[in-house]
Amino acid sequence: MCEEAFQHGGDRFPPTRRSVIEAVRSIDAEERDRALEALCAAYWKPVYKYVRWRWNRPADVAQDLTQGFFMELLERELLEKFDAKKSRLRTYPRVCVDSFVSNEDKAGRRQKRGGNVLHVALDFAGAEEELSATVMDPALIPSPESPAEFFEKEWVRSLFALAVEDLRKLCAAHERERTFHLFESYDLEGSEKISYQQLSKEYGISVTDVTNALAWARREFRRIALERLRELCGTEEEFRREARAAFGWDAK
Amino acid sequence: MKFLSDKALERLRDGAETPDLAGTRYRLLERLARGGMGVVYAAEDGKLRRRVALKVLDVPGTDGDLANRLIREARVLAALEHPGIVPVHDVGTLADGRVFYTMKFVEGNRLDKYIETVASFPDRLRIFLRICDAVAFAHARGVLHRDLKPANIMVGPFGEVLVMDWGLAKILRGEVSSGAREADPEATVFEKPKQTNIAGER
Repeated sequence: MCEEAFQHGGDRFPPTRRSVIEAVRSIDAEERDRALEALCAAYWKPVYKYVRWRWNRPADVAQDLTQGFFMELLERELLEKFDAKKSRLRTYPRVCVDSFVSNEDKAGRRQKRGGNVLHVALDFAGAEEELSATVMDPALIPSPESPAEFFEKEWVRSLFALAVEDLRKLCAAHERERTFHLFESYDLEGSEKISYQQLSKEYGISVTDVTNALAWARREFRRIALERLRELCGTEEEFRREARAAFGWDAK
Repeated sequence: MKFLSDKALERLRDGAETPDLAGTRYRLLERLARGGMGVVYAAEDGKLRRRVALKVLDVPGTDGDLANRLIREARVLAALEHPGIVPVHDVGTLADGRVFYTMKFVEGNRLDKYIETVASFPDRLRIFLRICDAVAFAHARGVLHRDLKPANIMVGPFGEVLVMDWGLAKILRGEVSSGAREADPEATVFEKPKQTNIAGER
């Protein structure tokens, strides 16, 4: 039997594809804008939360710094030194944020940038709500690695939230709203006590239907999350490494 | 956009990792171990009503390289029918595109654990000789394991010894091949022993 018999789809990964961080520095304005948009969508919330938590900045200052950070990506080539072979996609932006905030402090800058200059909607109020559900007390930091862990966790949360939103849209487009509600009830909000049987009664469907719906939703979530991650990565190796980290497959 | 709690993140991770065996003859039982490119689960073969070990990729591997390696590993096992080498039963693709194969479910202990309970020198020597038998058989078929270590040896409840995890195995051709990861899965595991060149593999 040939390999093709086992292959799923034909989406081969270009071996020399540019990572989104590299593409942000492109001389092609269209590619640069597209990359910046993808980068912002995945990273703005982790960056904002990180500035609030690690740098202990008030909300309005953190908002300015977050917007300023992404503007600087273009204007001052903040990511010039990124090397996918040496750096990690999930950690490099955090290092840049540290450098950016530190430099802003040294320069004594307090620039009110105002408005949303980025093409991605930045829901700072929503991010604040999320922060209130997260540990914010720096005294609770148990080790020097914690800021890194915090940023990585928020980055995964951001990636997964985007994938869940994509899944919701996919379900709506295919008239599978009930499937999304089941996924929401069991995987996103479910307590330990909730069962497939309870869901089948609640939705008036068989347990098999619940099982099948959840299996489909999980499969699609996985596919979408990996696809979003793949968009950010420059090489297959980087993609595998980031996927294992994001899904916790390294730690198990 | 919906806020995902830490608990939700864990559930999403678990849900994304757990293989969806719908459409296959297998039912998932429990996770046994994690390897370099995948996870091994205990599963039940619904048709034959027996327990099997199911190895599946974790990351899909969009260039097909990982999938090819797993298929190749299954084919190496299929070509090495020997009481000291874990037999493969089946190979296929899950609904989410991940390649898997099933093999004999080996009850017992990994050698590194088992050896702690085996005190006698003759017993240890007996295990060693059985490993040598299996490896010699593979070499005679032109296959080098290349990752032989106690963690990749299983010792069953009746003293059976099985060499596992052939993912890094190298298949020899008439001359030294360029490496397991580049080797053609269709290639020379079926070659006659006289056509291989073990000595050249250095």
